[in-house]
Amino acid sequence: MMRRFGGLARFAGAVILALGFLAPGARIPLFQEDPVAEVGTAHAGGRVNVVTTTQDLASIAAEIGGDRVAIEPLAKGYQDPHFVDAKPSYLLKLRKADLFIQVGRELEVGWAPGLINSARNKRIQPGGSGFLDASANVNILEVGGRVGREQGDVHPLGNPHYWLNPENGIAMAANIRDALSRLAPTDAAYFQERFAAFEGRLRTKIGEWKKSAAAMGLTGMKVVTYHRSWPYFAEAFGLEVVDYVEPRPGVPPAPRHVQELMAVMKAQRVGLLIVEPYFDPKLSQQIARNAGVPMLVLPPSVGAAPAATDYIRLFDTQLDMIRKALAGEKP
Amino acid sequence: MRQVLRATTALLALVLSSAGVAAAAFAQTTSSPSTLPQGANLLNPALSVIGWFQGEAGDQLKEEGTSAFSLREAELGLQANVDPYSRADFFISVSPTEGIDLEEGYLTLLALPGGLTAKLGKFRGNFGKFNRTHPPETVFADRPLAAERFFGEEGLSAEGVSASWLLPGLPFYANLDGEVTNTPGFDGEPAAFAPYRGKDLLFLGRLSTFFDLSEASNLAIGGSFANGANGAIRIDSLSLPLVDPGALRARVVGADMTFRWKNPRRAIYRSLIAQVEWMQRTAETLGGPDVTRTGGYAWGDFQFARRWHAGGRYDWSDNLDRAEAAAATGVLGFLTYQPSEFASMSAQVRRQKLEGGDKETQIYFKTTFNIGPHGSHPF
Repeated sequence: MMRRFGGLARFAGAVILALGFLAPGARIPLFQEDPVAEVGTAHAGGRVNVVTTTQDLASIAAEIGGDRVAIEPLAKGYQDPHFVDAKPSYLLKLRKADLFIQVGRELEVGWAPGLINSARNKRIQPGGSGFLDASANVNILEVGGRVGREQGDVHPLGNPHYWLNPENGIAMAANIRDALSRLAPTDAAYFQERFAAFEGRLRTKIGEWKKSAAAMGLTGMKVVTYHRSWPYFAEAFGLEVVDYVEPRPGVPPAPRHVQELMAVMKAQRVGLLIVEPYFDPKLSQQIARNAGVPMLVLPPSVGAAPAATDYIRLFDTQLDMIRKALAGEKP
Repeated sequence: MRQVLRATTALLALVLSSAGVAAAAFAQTTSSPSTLPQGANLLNPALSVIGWFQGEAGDQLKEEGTSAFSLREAELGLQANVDPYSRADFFISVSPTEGIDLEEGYLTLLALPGGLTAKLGKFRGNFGKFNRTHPPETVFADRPLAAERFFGEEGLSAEGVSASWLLPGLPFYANLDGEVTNTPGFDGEPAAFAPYRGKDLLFLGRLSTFFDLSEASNLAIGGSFANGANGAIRIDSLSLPLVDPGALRARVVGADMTFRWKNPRRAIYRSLIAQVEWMQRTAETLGGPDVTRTGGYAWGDFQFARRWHAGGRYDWSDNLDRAEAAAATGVLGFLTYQPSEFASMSAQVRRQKLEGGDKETQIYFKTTFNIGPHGSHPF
């Protein structure tokens, strides 16, 4: 009897020892070398493995990285980026990543930090050379002021939906270019060349989009949105967001707020009600019908609508959908 | 046993030497560019408090010393990275009955190679699915019968070291955990293990797997094993002079399965989680055959609206303390309202049939509330 349990205990000890010694590469020094020191050799000839939290980031990373990177986005564009399940299967992608890119500003605070912690990948820990917060150098809105939970699920570091102003796409692309160039310096010229081409195309498109937005009367148009996802989009195309279906971020509307909102929409001659695809549209449809305003389920991200297949087509799709909604056509 | 001790010493040496190497490596590291706003406060650890208020009614309140209302626990969390190589997590629980207790406090080494991480300190044992969740954060106002009888009111938690290995080269997620800790005492209450001497350690292993069945559904299957001391508490006192009671051992094996469903396009409105967990304890006895006792539970939680959940649980568990095998069973139903991500109110009813045939009904009203920075959503 005693021998039997002793055997089990020995087995447990052996398993734990095996964990320590049999792992590939477990030689002294036991900790991974600082990844900065590996740069330039680790990816020579190979592709940089990039994992992004959203498809928007993946699209921009593909523009910059071309055939020198392999990209895996975690969340799909039709998912609410605040509420993504931290599935263990994501760890298989993160473990191999050379570069992890997040939107930041606490957009992914409910799921990305735990995944990064469990990824067993030193390179992509915050502060490491393989961790990129794409919001650096972006002009962030709604920063500062008093922040408290009585205001709902607020983001203390500002509104995180900044990719929805295409001008910010250029800063994001520059951040990604810099991160890729640090990781694969021999390809830096290639990344710079692709960045310049992307910036050129995007700037041309921004000019076209602004013209088209003005032509369909978006400049100064008052709109209501479900969540506070659209201030950057409004900033880019001249819309004025006057109210929200959610009384506070993350807080579903109560009947009284709905009544007040409909009154505001009528009084202020609101032109459009914009809803993100991951919210139930029923209530918004009622509000829009009552206020006599067209309602539009607008894709906020690449992958959120079939036509929004990349970052540039996202804005093409959005403006096309708005034009049709204002003209009373079916989207 | 001596070999086990040697193995443990070797593991400790391994972990400690890694920490030394990490410190040396850190000294040489140049700081990475940081572009987010910085301030002295940002270097403070993330500080959070979870409050757990509970109201109860039912048969158990007929007992002396019980109370209808209680602030069951205030759980203080302090979490931060220590350096680029490790992070620290502390959870301090304060309760009127237990006083101040360091529920968990551990260092996690994040920069180990080969898909490894390691923990040093006091932590909840990685046995099954339920044990790792802090009591205020479970969906239940009580603990499942088997969890309580096997691992006590607070669950299995002890000081020691653990290593976790993400298995490479597989097309699905599989993770192997190994822990060497003290055998915990469970506040002197009968449980699966009982400590005796410092050398009577608890060895724990767990294999967890995860499979995406579709974009909306997934399945997690795990197996756990623990072998620890079964100290002097349950030994016939007349035998004490004859046999060293610390040499007695007990082992628990467990299996668990969790199914989750959630449409990612409507993630905030509907979800389902169904979980079943089974465990069996085999304990040595003095001079007699090994004693085997079994328990388990199955539960489900259906989120049917953005703020509403309903669910139920079925319990069964042998009484570990009785000479003959005898199981109690129970059912629990709950309806939970969540005004936001940070607060929850739940009405629960439990009906239990104890070994002797007595039946007990208990009604709970559990409220939890969370202040501090946004933590991770539970998964």
